[in-house]
Amino acid sequence: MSRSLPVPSKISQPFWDSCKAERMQLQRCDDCGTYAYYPVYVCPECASRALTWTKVSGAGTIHTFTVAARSSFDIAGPLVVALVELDEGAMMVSNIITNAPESVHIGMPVRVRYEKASDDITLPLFEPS
Amino acid sequence: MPHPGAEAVIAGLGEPPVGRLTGSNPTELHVEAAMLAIEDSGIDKHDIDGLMTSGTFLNDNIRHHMIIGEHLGLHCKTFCDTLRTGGQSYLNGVQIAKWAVETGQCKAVLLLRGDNILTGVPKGTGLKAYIDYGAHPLEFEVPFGITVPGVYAMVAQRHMHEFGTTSEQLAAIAVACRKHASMNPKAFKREPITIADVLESPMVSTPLRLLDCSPICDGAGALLITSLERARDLKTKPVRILGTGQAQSYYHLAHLARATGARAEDKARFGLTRTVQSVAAEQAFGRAGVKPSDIDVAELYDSFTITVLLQLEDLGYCAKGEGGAFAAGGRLELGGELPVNTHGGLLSFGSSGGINHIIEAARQMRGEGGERQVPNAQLALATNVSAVASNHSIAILGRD
Ligand SMILES: [Zn+2]
Repeated sequence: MSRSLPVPSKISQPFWDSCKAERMQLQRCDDCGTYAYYPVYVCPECASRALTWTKVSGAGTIHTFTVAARSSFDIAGPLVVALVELDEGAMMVSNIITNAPESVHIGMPVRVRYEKASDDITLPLFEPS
Repeated sequence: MPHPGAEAVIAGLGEPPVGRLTGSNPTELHVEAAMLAIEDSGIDKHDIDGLMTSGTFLNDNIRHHMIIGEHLGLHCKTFCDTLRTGGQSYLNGVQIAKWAVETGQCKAVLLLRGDNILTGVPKGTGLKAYIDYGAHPLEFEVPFGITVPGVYAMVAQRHMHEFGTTSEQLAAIAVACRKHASMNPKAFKREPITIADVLESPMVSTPLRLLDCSPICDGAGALLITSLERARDLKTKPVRILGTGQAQSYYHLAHLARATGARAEDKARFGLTRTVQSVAAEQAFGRAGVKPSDIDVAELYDSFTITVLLQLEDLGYCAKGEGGAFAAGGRLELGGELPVNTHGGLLSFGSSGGINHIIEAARQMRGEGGERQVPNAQLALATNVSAVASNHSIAILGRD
């Protein structure tokens, strides 16, 4: 099967718009500085309502990962699913795009690599940096 | 504390065959499990005034308990619900049933599980059905190829990274479950396996291999919970529910890993490899007034080998990070220090959901384990886990 693409909601639309513009933004709490992901209505740490969409660097490290022996998508090569910790502190589930899945490891520095999946959706994938 | 005699006990067990039940129907499985539990206890079905089910994977209904209650002819209930906490539902249900019985809300509560996810889900449609079911967040994880084995694999990978846990140590858990299943005529997978067999089985999602994963299986189970005084008039030996606990955290891996929202001083206690089961365990052991080393037999939810390994630590059997060493060397096998999953667990007995773990724990307390009975077992621990190491329920059972 092909990827089941996200259907943005009112709260997540700014995130997906920022990915489409290849300038990924997350909500940053004005009060405690937490970067939230996925998109939220209040800061999950301090419950502040003051959240500002803020561009992030797109750089991070791999917190954990797995290489799926049989990809659930019709994409070439093994699918590396990873939990990436962005330099700003938020974590995201994504894929690591690499020709050498055996070299992927926890702590590996990665950077965002945008992949246009449809007219509306660009996915923030990652590659070794 | 309820007055003596009012305390809730498990007074009936129903466990129809599990495995590849071609032509089965989830409603039929529920009814069969319920009938077995009613017959086992000898209760008059008119005395059953509480009912909990947990829905089914396909053709789910938000009031699934209504359908099943009607099939069973349970006319007027004073408590019922369809539980929505996945594989964790059944010990959650035991705790709710205990409350219902001990407060006098119900005389007797039936707790049911049944599904045919092996033969009932058309081939090639399982993943789509799983996504449609909404069992994992759609927008921020599913587009990246998240699967259930995949997320547990990511937890295992992290555990290996933090603590040096090995695939051999995980494999020891699968081997113990299979050894016990080989002694259980009802088990789905009975052929003994070795650690080498696990390590040579096909890779599913690194580092988890096929034999680290529980097979998809059809099955059902039922528990009848009533008061001790009522149980005294029934056919079977009551099983005490000495302590229960539960704790739930989050779906999203990112939030699990960071313990998002927890008090600052609690954040270090939790993460991908540190689950909130430790909180449920404090409750259950505290209420039962016993400690982990007092337990004679443990039926630990085992969707994957890593699921068990995490629990050995979070339940307090060993320090965080030492689960691998604890699991190795036959310690989890019958005759070992902590026999685990004496029925074979999800890994080898099969079925689905966690109800069979509770049934086996109760069976051990009744001394009806047959070849796999833990001699003179006085205390049993059962756990349920769901939604990737985030939803936990626990009960400590005792011999009457
Ligand atoms: Zn905040």
